[in-house]
Amino acid sequence: MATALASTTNSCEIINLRPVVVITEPASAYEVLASRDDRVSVLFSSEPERLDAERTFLVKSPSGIVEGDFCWNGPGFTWKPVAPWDPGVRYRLILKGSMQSLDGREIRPEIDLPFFVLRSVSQPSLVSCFPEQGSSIAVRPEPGTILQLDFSEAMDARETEAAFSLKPAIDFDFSWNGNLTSLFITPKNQLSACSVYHWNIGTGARALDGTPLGRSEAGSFITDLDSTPPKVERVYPVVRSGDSWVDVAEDVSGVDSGHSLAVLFSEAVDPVSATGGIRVEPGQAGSSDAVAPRLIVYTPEHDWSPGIPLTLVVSADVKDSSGLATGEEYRVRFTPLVPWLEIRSASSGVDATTSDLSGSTILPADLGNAPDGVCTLTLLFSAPFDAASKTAAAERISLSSFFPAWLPAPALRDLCWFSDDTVAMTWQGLLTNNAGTTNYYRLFIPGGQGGLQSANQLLLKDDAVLYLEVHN
Amino acid sequence: MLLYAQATSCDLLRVAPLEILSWSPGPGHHRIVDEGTVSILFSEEPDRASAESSFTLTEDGAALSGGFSWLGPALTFMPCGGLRANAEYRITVSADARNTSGVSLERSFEVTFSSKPEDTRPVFISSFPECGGILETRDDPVSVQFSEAIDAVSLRESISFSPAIKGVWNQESGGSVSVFTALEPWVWAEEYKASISADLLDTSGNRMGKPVSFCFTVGADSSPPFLLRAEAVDESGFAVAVVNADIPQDDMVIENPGWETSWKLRLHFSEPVSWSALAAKIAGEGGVFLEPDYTGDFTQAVDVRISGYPEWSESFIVRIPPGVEDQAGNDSLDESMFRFVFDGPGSRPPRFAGIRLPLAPGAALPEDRNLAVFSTADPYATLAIPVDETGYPVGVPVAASIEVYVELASGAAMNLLSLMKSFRFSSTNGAVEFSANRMMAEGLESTEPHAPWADYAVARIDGTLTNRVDSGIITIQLAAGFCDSRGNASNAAQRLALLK
Repeated sequence: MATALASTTNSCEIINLRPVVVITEPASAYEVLASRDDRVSVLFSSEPERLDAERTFLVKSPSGIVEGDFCWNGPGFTWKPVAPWDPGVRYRLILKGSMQSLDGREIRPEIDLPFFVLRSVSQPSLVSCFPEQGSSIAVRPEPGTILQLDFSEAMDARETEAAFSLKPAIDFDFSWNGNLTSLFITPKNQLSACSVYHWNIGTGARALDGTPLGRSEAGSFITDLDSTPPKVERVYPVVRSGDSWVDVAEDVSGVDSGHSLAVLFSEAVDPVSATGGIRVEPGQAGSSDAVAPRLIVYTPEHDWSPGIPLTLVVSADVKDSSGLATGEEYRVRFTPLVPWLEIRSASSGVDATTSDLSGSTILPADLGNAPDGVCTLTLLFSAPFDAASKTAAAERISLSSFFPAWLPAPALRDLCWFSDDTVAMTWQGLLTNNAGTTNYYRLFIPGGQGGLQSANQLLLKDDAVLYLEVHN
Repeated sequence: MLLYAQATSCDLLRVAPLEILSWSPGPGHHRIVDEGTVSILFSEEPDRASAESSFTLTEDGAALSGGFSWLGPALTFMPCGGLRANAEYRITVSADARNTSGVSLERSFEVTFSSKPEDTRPVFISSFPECGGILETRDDPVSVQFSEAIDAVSLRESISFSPAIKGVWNQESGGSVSVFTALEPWVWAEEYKASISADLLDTSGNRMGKPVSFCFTVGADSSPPFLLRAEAVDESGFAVAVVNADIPQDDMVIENPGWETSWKLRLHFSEPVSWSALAAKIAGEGGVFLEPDYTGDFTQAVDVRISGYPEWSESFIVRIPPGVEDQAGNDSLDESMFRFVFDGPGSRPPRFAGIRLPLAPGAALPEDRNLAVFSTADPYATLAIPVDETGYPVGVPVAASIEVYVELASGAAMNLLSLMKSFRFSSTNGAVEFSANRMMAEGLESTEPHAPWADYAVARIDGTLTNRVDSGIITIQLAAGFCDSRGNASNAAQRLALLK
């Protein structure tokens, strides 16, 4: 309903002394416009000087003067804000001051009308948030909601999400409850540990009807609920038994052939950083598996070499599930108990036996089965051989003529494994000493990598060399 | 409506002005409960629109929007989201507020109140370590005490360390003591500066107002380790010689002669030092490779194995650069250098001295066999091989023995197997052929060793020598690698060249 407001006129109007009537839309205080795009209007009973009229007119909101455009039509105008009205906001249509009508009358309106658009009830607000301001939260590796904002009414998801920000900036997803009153923030990646995150939601957030949030809101939370970095508690050897790993010793002093190394942390660790952060120096290739939240097992690509000191290194970058790193490199030195393969004895006869195959021993040998020059040497190893290693051994053990230079080379004639650790090898073509000559033959067994290996890959530490002096 | 605002002489004619009789929550500090509202009680019912338009509530300077409600002359304002804790509020009602008769407030109305429990600024009380103090270990926490509880977020954002270090804050004693635990070890001997911003807030939101800083140094032990002395130890671990360092700054070169292959260099430090740091730093010159024995992560005395020796009698150097750290992380500051001469008598490689052979092997009596001696020190001596019946008739294989004299390291013996492997006899032009059939660690039968070489080891090589008609150069060689019973090996072939 329109109401006529009289303004006083005190000009010297000979013909018309009646006051100029001003009619506004909205006409009275607290009216509610029906649409965010509605215009307000002012109609004068006598057309005023338009510039004067526009100068005395303004629309204010709590945040200041609203910018809009006039549209004149005869003695009145309509006015529309540049941006649509914000529902729920208390606007004021103000027309105050002095102006002249075109017929010379002075118009002094005193109009200050509060009005609303769409609704006059309160604007939406943030009812609660979780975590609360300044709270410490845990950082979890798996995706999960880190922040929940509860509003007093259903919100426009798109506008509200656009009004939200989080610093330090991270990628995150939004989700809402069914009635659009709760917004959930879920980061795409793990948050940084021991950091302060600040969130903000501005007044660009709107209710479903476009009503802006009554005030911007901000908060902070701290990702330091877990403030204890992971530590290596224990390193010890394990062996696989079916689907599980079984401890075989208390610490690394018990590392033996076929063992893997278990690294037990003080808490659950990030499997990616943990498996990537464990290595053995010097230059031991291997792989790590996360077999339990706190337990990583390192398995060497090749079995431990005997007698070589090694160092297990756990990087300072291994993180726990909160993202806290160990901070300090962990090192533990150990020497695997893996024994070398040994030749316990070399025997060329009942009374001719030696265990010294360092290359400085001459073993007398009886030559039997003359004139073929046959000599049999029996080797007793410290570890058993399987079929494959037995075959390989035959190829690696050699007997050659040594001195004098003219001695013909002997040939392997027979080989017999008396047991898995004892082999008898027979060569022929050997020559015995005579009055003027002393004949030596050289037994050679290669050691080290590429050398002789037992069934469980035990190696000779060094090449084994033995000289045979052949008698009748 | 006509107003008589100018009348002042007669109270009866005077129009009562609009006034604000009271307001809530009232001045001072207020704990906010529930959402919180503010109220204004006017002296009479005002024109509500003008009263609302004249009303402003600011929170820390920012105007709040909200809703109004009325109960008679009492206006209640409910800010959107309610009042907040730890904020300063200001209520303003401008003089534009008027009653229904158009009588406005005589003057604007302005009051303040606070939702802070108190307004005392937090004060820095103390720190541990105190300013200029020492943080004893690399894992120790740093604590700061304030006069009251500090806001948790502000604490983390207002205190920084330089050099930067990541860590976690915990609050104790109700929040007035803040404890920082570094997530990585503090850098040893580093001076850190802790800066506390003036923006630090207490739990009531009060700023500290002035910055504070304090410095501290990490490490009670600031003494770097240094090398006390060094010595040579034998295979049994017994010290056998003092080793003197060479000081690069002076003009003197101090060498340690007599080094043996089997020795280790034992280093004594002033305190336990990191084995891994030493192993990474220690370096050899002259081809040697150094390997400290591991006896623990930190050790005060270290035995260093040396391998890859140069030629016997040549020199090598062991350097221990600065940077060997102790348990506290202090690095050694000085370089130590040791010069050695690898000329220990027990490490001497076998030296081929020469040969002796009979020129008349067919003589019946040993003294008639005409022994000829040829020394490697006298190459290209003439070997005049007699061709008579007792000598070496041309084309006839003659049983002959050659004595090989070798000067050995003390304590070493002739290694016959090595000699078998190394001995070579050759001649040019097919002048002479010798086929070795047997080697023995003794000299010629019934003959004393060659007197000048009586202290040398001798081996006898029995074989057949076939003389030919042509002349030529005879070469008797002990190949590289020829070694004695202790493993001392010659690095190069040793030759005796003779002219026939």
